Amino acid sequence: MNNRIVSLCLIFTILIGVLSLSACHGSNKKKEFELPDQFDTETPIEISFWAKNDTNIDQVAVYNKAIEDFERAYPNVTVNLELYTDYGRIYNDVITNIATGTTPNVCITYPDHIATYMTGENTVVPLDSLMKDKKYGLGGSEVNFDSVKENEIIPKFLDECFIGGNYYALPYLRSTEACYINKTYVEALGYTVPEVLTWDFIWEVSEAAMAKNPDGTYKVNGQKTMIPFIYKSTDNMMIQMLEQQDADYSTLSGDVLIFNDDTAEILKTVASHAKTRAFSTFKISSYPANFLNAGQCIFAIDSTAGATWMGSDAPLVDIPESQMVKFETVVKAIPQYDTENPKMISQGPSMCIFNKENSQEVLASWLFMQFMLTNDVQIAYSQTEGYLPVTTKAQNSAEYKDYLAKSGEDNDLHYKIKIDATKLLLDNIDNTFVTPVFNGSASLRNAAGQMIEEVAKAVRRNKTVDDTFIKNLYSEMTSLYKLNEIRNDASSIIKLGKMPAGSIVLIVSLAVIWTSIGVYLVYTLIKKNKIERKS
Amino acid sequence: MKKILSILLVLVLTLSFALVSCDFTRDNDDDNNENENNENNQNNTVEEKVMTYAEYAAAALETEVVVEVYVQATQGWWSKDGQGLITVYAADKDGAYFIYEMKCSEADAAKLTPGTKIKVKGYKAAWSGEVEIIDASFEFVTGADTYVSTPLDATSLLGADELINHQNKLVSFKPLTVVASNKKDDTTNYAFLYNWDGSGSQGNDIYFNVSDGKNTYTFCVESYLTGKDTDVYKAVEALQIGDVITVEGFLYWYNGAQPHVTKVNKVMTYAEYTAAEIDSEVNLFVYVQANQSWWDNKITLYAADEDGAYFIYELPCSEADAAKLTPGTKIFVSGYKAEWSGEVEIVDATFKFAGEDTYVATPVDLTDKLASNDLINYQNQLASFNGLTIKSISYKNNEPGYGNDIYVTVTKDGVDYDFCVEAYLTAPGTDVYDIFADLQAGDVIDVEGFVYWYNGINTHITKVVANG
Repeated sequence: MNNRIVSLCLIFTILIGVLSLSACHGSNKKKEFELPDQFDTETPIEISFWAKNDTNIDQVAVYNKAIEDFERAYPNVTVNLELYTDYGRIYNDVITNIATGTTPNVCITYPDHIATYMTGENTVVPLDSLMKDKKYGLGGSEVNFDSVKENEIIPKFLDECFIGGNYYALPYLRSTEACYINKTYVEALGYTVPEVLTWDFIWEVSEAAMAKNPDGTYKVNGQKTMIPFIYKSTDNMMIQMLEQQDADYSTLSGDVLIFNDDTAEILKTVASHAKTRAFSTFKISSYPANFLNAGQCIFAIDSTAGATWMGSDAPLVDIPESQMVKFETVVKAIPQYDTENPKMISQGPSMCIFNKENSQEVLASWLFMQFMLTNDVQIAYSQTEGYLPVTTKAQNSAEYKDYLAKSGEDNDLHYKIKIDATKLLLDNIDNTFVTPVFNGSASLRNAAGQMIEEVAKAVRRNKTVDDTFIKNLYSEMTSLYKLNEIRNDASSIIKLGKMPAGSIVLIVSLAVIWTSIGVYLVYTLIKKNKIERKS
Repeated sequence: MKKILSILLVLVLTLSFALVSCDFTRDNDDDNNENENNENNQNNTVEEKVMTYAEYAAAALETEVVVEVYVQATQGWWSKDGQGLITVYAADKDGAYFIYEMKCSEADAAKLTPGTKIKVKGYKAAWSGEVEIIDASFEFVTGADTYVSTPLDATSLLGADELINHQNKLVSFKPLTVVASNKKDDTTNYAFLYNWDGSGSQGNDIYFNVSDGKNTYTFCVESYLTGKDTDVYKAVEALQIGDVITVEGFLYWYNGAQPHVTKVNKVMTYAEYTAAEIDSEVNLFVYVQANQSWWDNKITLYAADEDGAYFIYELPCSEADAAKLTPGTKIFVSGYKAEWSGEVEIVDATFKFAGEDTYVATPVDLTDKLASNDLINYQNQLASFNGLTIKSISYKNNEPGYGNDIYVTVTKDGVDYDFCVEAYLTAPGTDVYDIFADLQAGDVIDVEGFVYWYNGINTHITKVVANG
């Protein structure tokens, strides 16, 4: 009897130990955020805000003013601003800081990036309950400023922040892409800028602009440099070209569909014009605005949030004054395949907040994020570039309408090209779209652009872009961006991969032990019965 | 039976744990092997013909290029979509290269130290005027020599078309004056801005304007090359408008020259010069007071400004320029502070003429300070000493001969001092040399000279008057 008790104790001790150890693994989860009943307005609270600007001092001034005003509304809260000029750098830094538990409190970001941040459990705070909270929610009764109500946020923009069943962000501002055109050169080439640009038109005019004089200069500008069509963001280019043709890109749940025949056709078209040098990209050549302003580009596609750099009278210029050329600039929507059904990307910064142990800190972050939607911030920031406020409250304000109405009155605040770009988005909100957001969607977006870059570079390097090239490119992109590792469900949990051999051994061992115990118990029972029968 | 079963179960568990441990070890080994394989793959020798710099320079844009270059500096390594990347400033003995976002593992990045030779394969491209190698991969050239370039003084090329021919080289500009940078809607003059328009904060790139007296140029402290903790970043943050500086950096191009600055030194005052540590770099405007004879394309100068004096030893100089180094001439000198037998001097220097204004020092009477510890503070100055009694006169090394230095021991108030008629400064035929040739022990003299030091005062006499 004693021996049996000792044996069983030994076995159970080992098993409990093993199970306890197993349970420990991965138990270090962050607690879900719970909204406090009351916001503490006495205890000092410090929050960090990682913000992106377009290397634009006016935008930095808006951030600083917003912080100052918010701290006036909540004197116990201090907001520490950290400035970035690149979404990618914010993304990288956030990823790094998730691992060390040192994420910012509030962060300007893209929804694509949030999807990756969310792979850490309870890392990003879902906003649904916060938004609807009667006291501290949007338009809440105890918010110390004129908080925007949920129905005052443009629904289309708010929807872009709905990720995997919850709101994980609020839109901050929105932009789209625009085509900034040297109308003077288009007309010099014998064309008229149409109301709605088409891809065919752009390609045709661009090729026509490649005609040269006997001395090697281009006929259209008399210079030795001419890149008629330059695209800043080639990921947007590919995404929009696919969307406009209703071609596959990805499913909502993360199935990657981009490697298809439509994409191949786009790539071949791009290659044919890159080969003649009628088309180039920002990554290959430089900023479209620099070439446009020097009279070395006719169609410059860039964000509406880059409008202040575009045109002969642009308030921001990056080339020597001596290189500037006078021409008439017009702003149009990006080229379309179907002029009756225009489609263009919706982009621009959103904001998310990160979970912290101190729920008061999170609540302060939420209040600050709301503050960024107030009219003063929305209107001031939108005026720094061709950005659009994301609230009807700001868009419909007298101040904002007056700003738009004064288009062209000066070449600074009311720079015509900038306001034209803003109006372009304002008039096309319903024609905007976004791509599905899932863990890996940022990589898919990168791959979309990289394919255009790769074919453009290839033909410039006298390589042949054909079906074989494209097939290999698909394979390279899949591998480079790990697109075959994206889990295709909405929960977007990181794929764990094959179970390690060690784990398999442990599980098998446990199974053997339990089986052995079972066999032993059956054996002892049978033995006991036999003994009882004999006795 | 029970015992056996218990032991068996314990053994099975122990074995499973052991296997788990083994498995982790093997997994780790697998990772290591994978890394090694990657490195091995990267180390597969590329057989393409290696271009000379001239061939590279002549190659058309978009063509594949293979070059062997020496790393001069790198920007911060980073990973993009899982691919490690590093941007390299490189050079060989004929030219320089900018290798943008070259594929590189983090481990290899640590080995890309200045001087390291690598073989790079990529494509020649141009971006806003910057000619670079993109889409590059590399391998280390094993057993190769190392090379670190010395800066080319490109000051005179600023604003000239020829400057672009030196793109990406390590260059220096000296001297330049810091001029104001401005932010939009802000009347304040700033010595520098974080980001081009001042929209940044510490840690971002720094932009500052400099003038060579003719034009204004914008230079950049590229934070990925020299971040906020580097000396150059801090030095630029400390600049003031009007500071005269020397700058060293890689001649990057962005719609024109926009050097990525790696070193900035302020042009010193005399007080800063005296406070500078021995072996530190010094940059000064000085006025020539006298010179030793030119030879072997070198000249040694006695120099001064209104605050103090300098001894500039064996300054490289053409014979034609030497003839222009007349007393009073203003020059800009860049070299290293050194000390030799007590004499504080500037060595390994370069110079350039620096304007029209002139200054010739008047001698300061240091007779009363001869025995004072304070005397050393007047080192190299033009001084006068009166009422000295000659104790002995001899030629250098006690070798009689007209033409050698003349060593004079003089006595004042019972203390002996060694002075010298330095033949390279005051050669035979000069008044002072010839007068000393006739003087004898016991003569009383008044002298003028530069307070040179050789284990104590060893004035280089430039003028002598015999009293009676």
